[in-house]
Amino acid sequence: MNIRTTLVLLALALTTVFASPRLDARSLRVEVNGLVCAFCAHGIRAAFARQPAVAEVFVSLEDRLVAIALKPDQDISDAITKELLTDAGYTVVRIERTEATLAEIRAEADRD
Amino acid sequence: MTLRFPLAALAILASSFATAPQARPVTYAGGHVLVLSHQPTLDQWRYTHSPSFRWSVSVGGLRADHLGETQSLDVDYLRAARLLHRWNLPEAQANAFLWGGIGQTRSGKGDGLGRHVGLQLDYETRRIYTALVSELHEGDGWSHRFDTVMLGWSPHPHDVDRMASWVVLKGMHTSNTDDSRLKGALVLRFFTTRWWLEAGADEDGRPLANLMVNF
Repeated sequence: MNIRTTLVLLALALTTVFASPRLDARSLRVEVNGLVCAFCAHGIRAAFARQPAVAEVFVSLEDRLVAIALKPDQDISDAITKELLTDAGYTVVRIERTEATLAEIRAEADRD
Repeated sequence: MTLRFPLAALAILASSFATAPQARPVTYAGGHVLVLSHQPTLDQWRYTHSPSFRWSVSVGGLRADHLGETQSLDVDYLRAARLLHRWNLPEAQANAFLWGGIGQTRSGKGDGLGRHVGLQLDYETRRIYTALVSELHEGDGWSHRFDTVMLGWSPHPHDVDRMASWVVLKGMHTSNTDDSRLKGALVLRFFTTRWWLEAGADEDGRPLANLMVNF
């Protein structure tokens, strides 16, 4: 295998790795600061309910967590996620994409 | 305790319309909140829309009596509120709000245009709630400030899909009245993501109630 072929294959491999990790993710796990009141958290579900890529939202005050289930082959950008949570009155600490389902995330939160 | 007290409390809750000064003046972007409040000498109602988490507009009314020379006060107003600053911490949230409004007033000193300005500072965790609210109303020949300080405690930390229950101590004061003492009250507070209900009594045994609904 010559160098050119090797470079092409390497480029294809890197493209595959980085091209669409978001479409493999089933949920977003977002760590949030300021989540201490259920009445005030009403706006989180209302905001994400309007997003076409969102199937369901789980909020846990105990875990400071907003988990967002994505519809198949759909995604929501980190920028929009952060904007929606900021508009709801909260501060986003970290966004993580995961293949875990919302049920799995909810079960993990209930176990803690 | 006879049945008269709880029946009176239910009647007041069902019939009263008032705005709780301790309700958050600004909620979340796109939020709508209806607030109804009754205190022994002060009833309020308010409907608030928050186009942004930083500001809101409201329409509301206030009815107060036992106001000394003013006798009674009846205000219908428009208001704008601003979130001055919020501190979002891992286990807590603190806020500073400022608001102002104008409206039509009717009092023992005559009718006219009134204005008001208010400030709220609050700090809360899932177990502790503290707030200081002060609202000054002025008109032609009269001025009254309504102050409320609150300290609340929850026996268990609540979460989004469970009803929260709290015990809240309130201190209430109205300036330029027949009785300018700080009045204490004890209320029980229950809420979910959509509704919020408080009920209790002041140190003279007079009932208080607040209701808020998220739309």
